[in-house]
Amino acid sequence: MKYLSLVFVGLILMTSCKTRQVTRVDPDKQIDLSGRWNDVDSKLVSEEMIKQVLNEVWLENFMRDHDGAKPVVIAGMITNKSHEHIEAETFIKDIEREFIKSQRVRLVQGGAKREEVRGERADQQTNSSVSTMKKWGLEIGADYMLQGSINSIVDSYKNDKVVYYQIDLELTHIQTNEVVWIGDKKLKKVVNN
Amino acid sequence: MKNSIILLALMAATCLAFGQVDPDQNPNYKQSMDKYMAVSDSLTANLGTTYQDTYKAIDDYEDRIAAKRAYREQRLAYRHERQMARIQNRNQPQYYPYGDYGYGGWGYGNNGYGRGNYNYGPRYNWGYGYGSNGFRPYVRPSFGVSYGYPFSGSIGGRWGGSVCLGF
Repeated sequence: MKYLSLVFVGLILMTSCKTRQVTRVDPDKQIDLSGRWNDVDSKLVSEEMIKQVLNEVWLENFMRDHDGAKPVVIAGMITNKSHEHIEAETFIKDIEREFIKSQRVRLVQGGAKREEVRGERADQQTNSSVSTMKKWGLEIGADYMLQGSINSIVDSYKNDKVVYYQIDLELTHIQTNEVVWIGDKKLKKVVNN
Repeated sequence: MKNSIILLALMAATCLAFGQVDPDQNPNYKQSMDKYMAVSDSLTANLGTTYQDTYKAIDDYEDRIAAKRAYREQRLAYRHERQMARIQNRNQPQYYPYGDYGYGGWGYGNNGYGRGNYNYGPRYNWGYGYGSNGFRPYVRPSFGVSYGYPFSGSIGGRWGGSVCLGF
């Protein structure tokens, strides 16, 4: 009896002292746990969008009409209308990085970062030397704005669920308001509980 | 040729008029400059820092652990409150004016109680207990007294002994 109680106490101690284990894995490895939006989805979206935006006709048209000049793009707002929290910056940054890496599209800063840059420029007007002080009114005006939306549809029955995501991105010419490109990526997941 | 010279002269004149140094510079740049010069301090105050714009991710396991922890903390807090209340109530006579049925003389002194005999009738009970402030909560003597109508009474001690008188 005494022996049994000792074993029992030992088991309790062993289970209560279970340590957490963390393993580094390749970021490209597909791991799905809950069925919610995850890094794999973001990656699939960015890959598809990069392929579409850099290989479609709007780019050639612009360069042809502007003597080979590269279009300048500014990232606008992405509206998440899905049922989940989805951070669009993960795939938008991938697209922006590819714009710069490919050297086919130029990018200008927008949003809070642009405000910060302008604040620094303002600060330079009174603190920096004249030779290094940056001037006003010489920013590059963007030709296109990249905007988008994320939508989802959920269909569930008993323990099973089908989640459909549709991510749309579009480029609109800032002067003419013309939409020159729309890219989309559709994802469908079946979650069995 | 003549037109080009005039055009260049006009551009130069415009530039000079607006204080421009670059022909491509936006002629309205001063508006922007004035706007940002006024707020440059606040816009540059956070340079080199990290702006934390985080959100709480869904994590069932962590949520369960947090709920357990919160429950345990609440239980300990309640227990502490009860202990504090008991300490504060020491050495104070406590009256129990309940008209109970059958149990005469509940004498509550902190933890001890004296139980009287089995009596009938409405009665007025009260108990009194006293004890030291040391950590001997279970050895404090106490007793309870009760009496009832028409003629009954009991007195109970800490360990349940009682004396009862009734008609």
